[in-house]
Amino acid sequence: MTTGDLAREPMDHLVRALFWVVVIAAGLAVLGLALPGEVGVAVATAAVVVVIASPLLRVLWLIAAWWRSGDWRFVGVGVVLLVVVAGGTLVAVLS
Amino acid sequence: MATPLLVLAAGFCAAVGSVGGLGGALLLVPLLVATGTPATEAAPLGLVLVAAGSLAGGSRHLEDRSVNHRLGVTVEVAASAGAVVGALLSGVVSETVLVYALAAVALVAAAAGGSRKGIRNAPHPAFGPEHVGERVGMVGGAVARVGGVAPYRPRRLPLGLAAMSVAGLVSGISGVGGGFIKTPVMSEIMYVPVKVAAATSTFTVGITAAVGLLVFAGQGRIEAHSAAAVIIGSVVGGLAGARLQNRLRGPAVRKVIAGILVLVAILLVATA
Repeated sequence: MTTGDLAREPMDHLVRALFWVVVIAAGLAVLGLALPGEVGVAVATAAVVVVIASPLLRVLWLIAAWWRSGDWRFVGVGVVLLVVVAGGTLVAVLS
Repeated sequence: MATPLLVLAAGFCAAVGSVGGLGGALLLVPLLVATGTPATEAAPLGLVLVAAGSLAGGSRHLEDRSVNHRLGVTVEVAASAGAVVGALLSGVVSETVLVYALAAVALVAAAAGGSRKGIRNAPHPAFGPEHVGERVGMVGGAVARVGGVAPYRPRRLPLGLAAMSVAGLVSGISGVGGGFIKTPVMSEIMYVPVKVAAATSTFTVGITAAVGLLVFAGQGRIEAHSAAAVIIGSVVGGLAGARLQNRLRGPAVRKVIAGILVLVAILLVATA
């Protein structure tokens, strides 16, 4: 039985990036709780921004990796996903 | 809820959610509402939990190559499209009807996963550890399991995508991540190995949650300090849950998921 060629995207880069994003998000969250007043709120908000941005950046990274490996079908699927997400967010916010 | 308790509650829900790829919002939100947090504030915190837990569990799932990004991105297109329609319909559907429908879905998924015996994707002698991972140009792959490496190829893709759009619809209407539907759909309808389904679902619920949080942020509904407390708990719980999932066998993961789904159904009906 064969299931095709093994994907060779450099996942170790993504593992390292995700590790540091987790450290940054958790660090900002701890600081946001520890710091008083407006500064604390701003830092806590930054932690939320990191958490929101990371899955979308991960999809962008995947699209770039699939592009480099010539997996055009999934480059297209990834782009369609981002278009649906962006369009859906816009529609939901406007409505 | 006091900040230390919120951290603990988020940690527990993220750990449980990460083991089964269920997100955890369906556990945290009823808990918060039951302890006096307004529902309008609890829903965004549930999505913060899902997004942060997904982020924390991500590297562990990548390291053991159990997450299938190609499958995840493919099913998420259907789920996101369903979520948009659901968000637009959210004011139309009765909240009580929705809660009972969610509870029924959770029980059916629990029964389907919990009652199943045997292994659908058996290890193949031609596959070794070097073959674990996803494949170029397709949504299939191979996963390490007890006794060897098992190749898999998702079946009934059109039906799976249709079910994912329903999962997205439910997410959009109710404001939850939808992992409690996505994991059983991948595992029980598409015959994806449950560990791959759980890891891939953990990845996709992060995307769904991010989109929902963008909408909540636009509405000014995210309370930064509570969100920070949830992030701390979710990171710790998400890491612990992903580590635990890695150690459990597939049938054990299925039973954990079934148990959580029954708990979710009870919580839903209790808070309805």
